[in-house]
This record gives sequence, C-alpha cells and structure tokens, in this order.
Amino acid sequence: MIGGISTVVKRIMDHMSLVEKTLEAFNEVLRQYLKEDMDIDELGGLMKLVHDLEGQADDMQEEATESIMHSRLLPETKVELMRLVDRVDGVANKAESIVDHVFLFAHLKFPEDMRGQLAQIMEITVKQMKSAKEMVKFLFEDFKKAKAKAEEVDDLESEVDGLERALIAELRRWDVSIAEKYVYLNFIEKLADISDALEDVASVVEQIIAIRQI
Amino acid sequence: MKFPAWLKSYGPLSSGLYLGWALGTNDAANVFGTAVATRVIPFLWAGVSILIFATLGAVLEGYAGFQTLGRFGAMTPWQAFWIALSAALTVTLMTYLGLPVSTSQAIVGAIIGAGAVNGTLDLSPLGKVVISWISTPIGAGAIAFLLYFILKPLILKFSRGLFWWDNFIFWGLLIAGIYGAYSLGANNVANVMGVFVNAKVVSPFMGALLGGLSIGLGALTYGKKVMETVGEGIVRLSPYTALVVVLAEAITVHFFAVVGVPVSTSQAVVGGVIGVGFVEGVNRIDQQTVKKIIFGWIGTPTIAGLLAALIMFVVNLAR
Repeated sequence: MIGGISTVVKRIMDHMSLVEKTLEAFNEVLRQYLKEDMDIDELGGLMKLVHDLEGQADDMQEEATESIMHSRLLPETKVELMRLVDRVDGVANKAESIVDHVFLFAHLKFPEDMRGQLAQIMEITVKQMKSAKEMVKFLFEDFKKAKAKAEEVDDLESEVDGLERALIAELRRWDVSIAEKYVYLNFIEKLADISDALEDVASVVEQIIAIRQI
Repeated sequence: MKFPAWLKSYGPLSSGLYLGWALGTNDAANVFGTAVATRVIPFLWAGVSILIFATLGAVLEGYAGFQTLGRFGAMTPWQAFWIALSAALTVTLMTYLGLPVSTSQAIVGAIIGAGAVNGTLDLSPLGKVVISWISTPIGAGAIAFLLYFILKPLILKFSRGLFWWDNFIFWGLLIAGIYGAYSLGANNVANVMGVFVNAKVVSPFMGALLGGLSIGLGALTYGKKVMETVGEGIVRLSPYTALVVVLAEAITVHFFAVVGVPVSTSQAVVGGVIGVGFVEGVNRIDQQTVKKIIFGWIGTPTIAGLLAALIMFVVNLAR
C-alpha cells in the first residue's frame, strides 16, 4: 500500500544533510567570529554560505513535504513526518538567525575562556546533529536504535545546557553595563537554542515511537 | 385491485431487504469504523469489502441462523413481512431516539410478539439465544484479552521501524475488517432473511445472497457517516488495541454464526474494548455501558415484540 517511500526517506535525509551542512558552516562562522584576529572578508563569505545552505534546506524541506503528502503513508504518519521535517528545518533557521546576530553585533568580544566554552557548545551541537541524523534514519528501520539515538541527542543537549549555565554565571561576574550583558546573554542563549531545537527533533521522534509502542 | 404474481410472491421480502440495508448502515462501523474514521482505509474500500465479504459470509455460513430462527414457529410470507417490518421500525425508531439497539435482539422480539398473537410460538430455542446474547460481550472480552497477549510478542519480534508499522496497521485493519464483514454476513443474515426462509418466500441460498447483498449495500450507500461517528469512539484506542478489538469481535460473531444464533456486533465490540481495558489496566466499563447492554438484551426485544404483536393484532382484525 505504501508508494514512494524510498523518495520520502531520500528527501528527508537529504534535507537533514543540508541542515547538517548549514550547522557545519555556521560552526566555521563562529570559529572565525571568536578569533582574536577575525578576518571580516572570510567571515562574510562564511555567513553567505550559511544563508545559501539554509535556503537550499528550505527548498529541500518543500520537496520532502511534497513527497510525504503524495506518498501512500497513513494520514497520521504523514502529519508526524511533516512535523519532524519542520522541526529539523528549525535547527537551520536558528543557526541562520545567529548569523544575522553576528552581523549586527560584530563587536562582541568574549574573554578567552568563554570563547573556548562557546566553541565547545557548537562542537557538541554539530555532534548532536550527526546523532539526530542517525536517529531519523533509524526511525525508518528500527525503533529501538532510534530511541537510543534520541537519548544520545538529549544527553548532548544536557551537556550544552551545563556550558550555557556556566557561561551565564561567568557573565554575571562581568563588570559591564546591563545593556551589554543583555546582548552577550542573548548571544549565548541563541547559540544554546540550536541544541534545544535538536532536542525538539528528538522529542518528535520519541513521540512517534511512543504512540506505536504496544 | 389485482397485484401481479411476482409482487405477491416477492413483495414480502421488501421489509427484510430494508432491515438488511439498515443493519448494514449501522453495523458497518463495528468492522471498519476505526479504519475509516482515522482515514487508514478509504471508505470506498471498506464499503466494497463489506459488500463482497458480508455476502460471502452469508452465502457460505448463514444457514445455521436461519434454522434457529425457524424453530420459533412457522409463519406465512406476509406474517414474515410484518415481523421484519416491526423489527425494522423498532431499529429505526430507537436509532432516531438515540437508544441502543440490536437488530438481532429486535428480530427475535418481533418473532416472539407476532408468534404469541398468531398462536404459533415455540419458545424452545429462546434459552440458547439468550445465553448467546449474554455470552457475546463476555466472550469477545475474553478473546480480546487473550489476543492482546498472543499478538504482542509477535509484533515486537517483527517490528521494523515506522514504515513497517504503517504497513502492519493498514493490512491488519483491512484483514480484520474483511473478516469482521464476513462474520457480520454469516451471523446477521438470519436477522434479515430468516423469517422469509422459514416462510418459504425464498430458498436458503437466495435468502443468504439477498440478505448479504442488502447488508453490504447498506454499508456502501449509507455507512460512511455512521462509520465516522461510531468509529471515533473506538479511535480513542491505540491502533493496536483497535485491531485487537475488531479481531475479537469478528471471532466472537463468527463463532455464534457457526452456533446459529444471531448476536449483536455492537455488544461484541463493547466486550472487546472492556477486554483490552483489563490488559492495559484501564477501566473502560462504566454504568452507562452496562445499562446499554442490558437494555439491548431486555428492552429491544420487548419493544419489538410489543410492536409486532400490535401490528399482527391489527392485521388479523382487518382480514
């Protein structure tokens, strides 16, 4: 009864690959941004790459949604998969929104140790994205493995959470104006939001599996 | 006024065909309600499946029910007409009033009511019939309880991700629905055509064929709305438990088709729902449900019986 399933899987996974590439490009943006001797031209090029990849991910999201709609999956499954693809796309959107933030607040200068922690957040998030991609692949093949990967995504989010709290505590001790603190806080929170968005993807997968548990 | 010979011979069948059509519109929901309400199976597939498999069930296994109903006493073709009409009117009236109704219980009540007025009543099969009615929800509950445990390890062993699950639910509900349609035809065709076979208006084969077709056409022409409404009640179950309930109902109703007693598919569904509720630790039985079932056993045949007795009394007076 199920038609076009291989197309559905391919498009969902292609979409995830583009979101993963967007995150990797964004990681490069962050690296450049956190450098003492930031190269503005290179940063600009990387920022453009993030925008381009996010745009490609949007296009692929449409194609994936289209293939889901025209497949012969059960209506409930279609709705769940469209929600999943939408949440995955939200991850790329979060990364793109920080690029805009970087563009607006190019002068943000974090101290050395905080820069390390910010870079670490992004390294973990990229790792989390790889786990999320495997999780979605397993969702189509094996619920147990998908569930294990979802737990991995959740655990990585907890690590990011810990780093975020440490950064905010550090920020509290800074001797800068409230307005400046707010801008720095906003940046830290936005960065950690990408990990939260990936946790949301894991939650959708966990829900899909949970309602199919006997 | 002179009626054509074919109308005299086959005219009485009209009330039976109407009863079959009404039964099809109502009971289709008990076999494909979940699948159609959740849009897992398109209505047309469900309707056509009921038409084909209810007819097949009626033709292959519907005869035992004819014999049981025939034992309540002999009748003429036009007495059969009035009995089927009384049952049909009871079903229509009670559905209109929103009261629980079972065609099986209505036709037995009508046969008894008419038989009492005509002086042809034989109550010897009543014990077997009543025991079967009471056993229907209990049996379906027990079967659902067992099926839940038997199927669970099998599914967990073979479960392979989202698309496997999609296929399993689709084919599971389709096959259970087809079996349910077969059981419905095999069991309930006696309600529709039993009195006419007994009155020798039609042969058992022709009765089974016409009865099965009328049930199927009822489901196909007017079953969609009922499937969507009644189905929603069952939809609150998970797809797996809904599948178990439909299978338990089909097995129970099929069993009573072999025994030869028409039973209520709705009460079998309620029994199945209670059975899976026991496994899941959910109390799905409330006083209202129990009242509805007991009303089905006592209220429906009483109303149909009184109506048939009244009609028969008036008809006898007018002759």
